[in-house]
Amino acid sequence: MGYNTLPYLFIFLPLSLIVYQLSPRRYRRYVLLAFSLTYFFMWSRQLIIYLLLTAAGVWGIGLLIERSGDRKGLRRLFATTGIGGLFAILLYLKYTNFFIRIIDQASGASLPEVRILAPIGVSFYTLEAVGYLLEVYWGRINADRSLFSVTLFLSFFPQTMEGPIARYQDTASQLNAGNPVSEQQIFDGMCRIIWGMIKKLVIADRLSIVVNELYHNHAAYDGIMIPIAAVSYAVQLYMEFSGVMDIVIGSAGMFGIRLPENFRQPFFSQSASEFWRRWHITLGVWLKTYVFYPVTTSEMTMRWNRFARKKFGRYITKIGTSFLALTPVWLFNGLWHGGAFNYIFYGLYYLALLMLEVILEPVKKAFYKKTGFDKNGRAFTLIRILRTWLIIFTGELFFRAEGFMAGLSMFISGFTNIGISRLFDGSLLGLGLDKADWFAVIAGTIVVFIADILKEKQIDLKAYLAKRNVVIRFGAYYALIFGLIIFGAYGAGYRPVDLIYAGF
Amino acid sequence: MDIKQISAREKALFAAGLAILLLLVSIPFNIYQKKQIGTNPLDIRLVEERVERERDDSIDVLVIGDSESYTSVSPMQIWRERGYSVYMCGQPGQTTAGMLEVLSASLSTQKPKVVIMETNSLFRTRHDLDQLQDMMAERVASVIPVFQYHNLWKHLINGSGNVNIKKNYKGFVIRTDIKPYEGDGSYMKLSRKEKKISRANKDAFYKMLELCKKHGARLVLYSAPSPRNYNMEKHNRLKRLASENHLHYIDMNIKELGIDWRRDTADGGDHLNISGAEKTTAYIERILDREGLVDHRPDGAYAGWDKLSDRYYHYAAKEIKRIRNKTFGRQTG
Amino acid sequence: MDTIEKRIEEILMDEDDSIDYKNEKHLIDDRLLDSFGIISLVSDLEEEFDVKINAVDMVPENFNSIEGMASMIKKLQDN
Repeated sequence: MGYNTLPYLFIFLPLSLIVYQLSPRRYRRYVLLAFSLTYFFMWSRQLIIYLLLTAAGVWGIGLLIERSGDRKGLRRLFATTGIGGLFAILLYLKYTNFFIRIIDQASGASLPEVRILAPIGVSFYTLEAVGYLLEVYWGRINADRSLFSVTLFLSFFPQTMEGPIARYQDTASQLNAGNPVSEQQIFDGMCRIIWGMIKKLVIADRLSIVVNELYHNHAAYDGIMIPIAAVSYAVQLYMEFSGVMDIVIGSAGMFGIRLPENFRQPFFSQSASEFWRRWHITLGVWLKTYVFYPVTTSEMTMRWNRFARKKFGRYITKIGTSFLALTPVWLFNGLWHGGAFNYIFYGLYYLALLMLEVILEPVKKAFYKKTGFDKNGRAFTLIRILRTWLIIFTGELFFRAEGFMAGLSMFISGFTNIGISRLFDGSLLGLGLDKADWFAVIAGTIVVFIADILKEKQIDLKAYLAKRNVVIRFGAYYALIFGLIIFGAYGAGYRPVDLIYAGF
Repeated sequence: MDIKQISAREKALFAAGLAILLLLVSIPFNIYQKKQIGTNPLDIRLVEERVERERDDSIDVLVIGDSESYTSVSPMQIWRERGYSVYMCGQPGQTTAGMLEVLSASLSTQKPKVVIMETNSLFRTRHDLDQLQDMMAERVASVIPVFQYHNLWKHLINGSGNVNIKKNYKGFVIRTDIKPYEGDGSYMKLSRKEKKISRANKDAFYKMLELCKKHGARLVLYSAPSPRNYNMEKHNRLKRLASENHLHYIDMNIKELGIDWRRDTADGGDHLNISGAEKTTAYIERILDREGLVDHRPDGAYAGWDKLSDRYYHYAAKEIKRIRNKTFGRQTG
Repeated sequence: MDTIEKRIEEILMDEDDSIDYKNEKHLIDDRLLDSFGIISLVSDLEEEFDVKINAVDMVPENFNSIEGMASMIKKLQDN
């Protein structure tokens, strides 16, 4: 029951809201938990066992860490055991077959691949659980005494499939508060859900047809079709993932629960590092808090710093430190998406780009100083944004390709037999979308782009509409609703498309 | 927007406006739908629309099924070699419910003598929730027509010309990839067991059988060669299903059709490519020969079929040759 | 001897002298200091004040302003 389906939007969500609201305040958290476990159970009768085991383990170990008080060794032991156990389960569920394949290739053996259930949601709640244990270990939060509360934190139903990856301090108290549902929350939630559905149903689900064709039969395409594949997938992924986030955050908001945002107009980023502060934000924050900072403040890094500072000076030291700290971050990022070499490459790709940013920084500074150009002038800003697009599109091409070698051969064939004319000779209509579909994709993307510009300029469209007269106000909301109903890719000739990030 | 500042009257007005608009917007869609596609009130999925574009009562054989069907029976080849008019209604990931829908829609404009069903869908089970989704969608669409016919706006941009005809040969898809099937040839390992067919699929099957009888079409079952999808347990079940209902069942997985599993599959033993499909289609032709079908090639009304088959062969013949002449870097027996 | 605040300001100026650190209260939130800047800053602060800054101390409040950094260092020195 994906968040974009009718049973979720018209049965599960309304029912949970009604039961929640009618329950006495102190029981509301149990209502949320019951619905969350039901949601999980409907996905998989087996995965829920992993969830419950994880929750119980995390709850127990959290308490053990806290009870250890000042005994540092003991704290460390518990934390390591807990986090190790969490990653062990994740590794087993997600990477067993990846390792079997590697062993097969290396040794020429042919071990049978193991049939393991698709680990829906595991990647997301595991990160939340690890974060929780580290926070307790660091003494930044108190261990939660209630098993219910820990389970609810890990399993809250809007978040199970695709995140956002919340920190315990972000959501736990809200989940337990049992705040009433208000009309305002329902209204805001509905607006956001409709907006998210437009992104997914009008744009992403159409592009998924093109993307499947181009990447699956990649050998048949070259030249200009490769950039089209890259852009199509980047746009599809953005519309899909941010659209589902709108539905998720909108759903949670109806219960008065504010989840952290996952996107902030990523296509206005001026560098690769800025892109990662605007794209899948909660994963970036998680990596920064629980991987980057622990590495940068570790004894190893500090020793390197002291040693290198004297020997090589600031610049080289910074490059070295950045490399030490960024390597685990990006390897983790790549691998977290799944056990495949194209994901690892994706991580290393961004590692290389971010290192390049560090290395070239003095050059850039010198350039603007010498030429006297205004760094923030329009032209330069635009150039930087377009350059970042190039980086994003290339990265997503490898990310989506069916295997690293496929990605590489697609990338290379993008430079042969360019054939720009294919943009106009009807080749695009051979990819599974007709003229009208392309029209809907392009018009929809423009609408979302304009909305993103407004958000970037911090213009609140809803507040603006509130001040207009009834006709304009009603018209705007009707336009959204009917835009979704008429231009949505459902019914005749379309089939529902599963959520992309739920697969990670 | 602060919702509290909005009066109850305005909220009611908004809701009423929405309801009226939903019905009002439905009207032009409804009219346009009737004008476009005749009077068929059924759901219009793409394949059904395509079947309806065929001249009424011009199709003698309908093939239904999932992707296993439209990669194994090529109407253009049958046309060229026999002159029977075959239409391929296979859909990717087709369910039995979907097959039933396609069949009943097609039977409203066509009078086929034979309906060929690829059997893979009979073993496809859908999650209860997906079924609930389908049911809800249907319910909503039947009450508010705009949900049913909303895709008609596309005609304004596409015109009513043929969609995608270039790649579409009466429903058949030419696949030219070669990805060898690496497993051993004996994937039909002896077994007495039977694979279960779910209740929902059985129900849909009997409805389709009923429908064929009512319209005087003979139902024939076949399983396309596919190591990825078939085994002896499925074969046993299908054989029993066929004999219980006095139907002809052809399992191409145990027939000697000369499928070369290194060259004739597009994706490692899931689907056939055009070279494999040429062999399976030739077999289907021989089955159809027993049905007393008419050779339409001399009939001027079918001139369009000749044109399309020229285009088909122009491409397919080349590709079949390429695939069959392909040599592999390392010859391993 | 200089105050902690003064010494912190010198370290910061060493890194980038185009920012008015004394009046800047949102170094992190406004991204005047990015993650890479923080890495060298942390090692500078550790050396200068002989303290150990840990991952747990890496929160915006501790780095948004000179006062924030100073109070973090005082706390760490007390431990």
